[in-house]
Amino acid sequence: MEQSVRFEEAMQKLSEIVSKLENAEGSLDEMIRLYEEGMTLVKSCERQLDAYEATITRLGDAAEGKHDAE
Amino acid sequence: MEQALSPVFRVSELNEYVSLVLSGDPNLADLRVSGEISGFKRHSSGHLYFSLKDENALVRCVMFRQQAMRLTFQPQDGMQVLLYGKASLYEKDGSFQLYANYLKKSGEGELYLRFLAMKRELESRGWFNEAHKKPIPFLPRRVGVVTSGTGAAVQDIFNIIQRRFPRMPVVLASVRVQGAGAAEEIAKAIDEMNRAKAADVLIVGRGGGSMEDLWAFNEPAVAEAIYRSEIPVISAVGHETDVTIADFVADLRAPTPSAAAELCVPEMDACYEAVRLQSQRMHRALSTRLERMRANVKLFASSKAFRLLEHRLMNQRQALDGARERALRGAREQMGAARTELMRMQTQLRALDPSAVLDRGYAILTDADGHALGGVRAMQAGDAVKIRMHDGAASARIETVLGTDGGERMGDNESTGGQNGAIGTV
Repeated sequence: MEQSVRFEEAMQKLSEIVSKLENAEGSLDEMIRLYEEGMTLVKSCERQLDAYEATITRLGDAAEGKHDAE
Repeated sequence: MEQALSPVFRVSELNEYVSLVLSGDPNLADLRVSGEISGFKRHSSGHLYFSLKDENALVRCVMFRQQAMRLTFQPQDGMQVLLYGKASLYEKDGSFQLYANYLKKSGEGELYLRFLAMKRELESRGWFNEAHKKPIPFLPRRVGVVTSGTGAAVQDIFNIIQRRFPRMPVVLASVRVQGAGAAEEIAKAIDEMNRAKAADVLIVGRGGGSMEDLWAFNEPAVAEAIYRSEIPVISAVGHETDVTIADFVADLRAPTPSAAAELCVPEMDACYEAVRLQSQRMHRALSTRLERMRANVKLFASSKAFRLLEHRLMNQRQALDGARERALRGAREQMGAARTELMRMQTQLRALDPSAVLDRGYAILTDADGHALGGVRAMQAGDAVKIRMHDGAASARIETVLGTDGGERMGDNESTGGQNGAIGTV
């Protein structure tokens, strides 16, 4: 259940990158590097959203017990 | 024995009788009762229905429109009042109730006073400090709900989470939310959620009710559990106007359970949309930059600065051409000079060529082995010599060596040695 970069953190980084890109700071090389970094974050965010699965468990259920291991 | 049996009443007769008994009691006819208002309802007819209670008991009350109009305040649940009226029986359903002529506010309710005392206590401990409040995650991995599993609140919460983020997992701790032991159950569930790391955010609450119904959320056990929870807690107790201790300790107070669900999960579509938007903005920013660079190159190419640069470049190319030309010319001149010098030297050399001398009628005298003879000193009478002329050679023998005057000087130059050398006979 642990994610390398949590959604909001990734979105925060992403918006920083977007504003850097929009302000066109840095060289073209730097922009392309930022763009690639941003696209990695976009994919990570989408993967995180895709990974959700609706479940309703009761605290103490066997299904819930597996989270103890975390 | 039949006479000893009590008479058989019909229900209406019984109620009528009890009603009469009660009405006949002068103590019940003119009463003052102090208690806390609970379950207050204003009927559309204008009549007020409510209960008065203390910690152990409760009595139903009614206040008719005529009397209610004289009230100078708005009665509310939890309010401590003094009721003036009479006690009687509502014959239709056999319920004992008070008929209020007048209500007087008797200061703040007992429960409310306890609430205030608790609030002051926990506030002084710093439990409500903003610094202690944890941020609510924007997108939890799972939502924990601590409430009654059978109430309307849990359904509201589930419905709203389902509507906003259909794939959000939820873990429910079903607890009693009122009555004895409720506070301890709620506290235990919060602790358990933390121990199991079951969720990223907790909703703790219940639907609306009287102040007494909500009382568990004012108990220290619940406040403590919320305070020590590592998982951020959203309180969601009763209606908008209900405020409990849990609300003050919680990291975020939601006015209702539905509102709590709204606050703890974002809309899934909006999340996807936000990601897509950022991705789009990046694309646009980069392509704008590239487009601008392309335009800049074009603009630069047609700009005065670039034309100037181009001009300078051409000048330099021209200068280079000139330099190359000059270098070539220089080299060519040098080569010409060298060639002239070479020719001059060749002429000189040719002038020194012995065969050229022979052409002019001179002869070279050599010994029998062909070595040129430098002068008469090296000769003796009887030596065999060779005479080479331009058209051939002849052998001869020295008859006499005549003398050596001037011969030393002549001997310096072997190649011309023959010029004034010994005179021999052929």
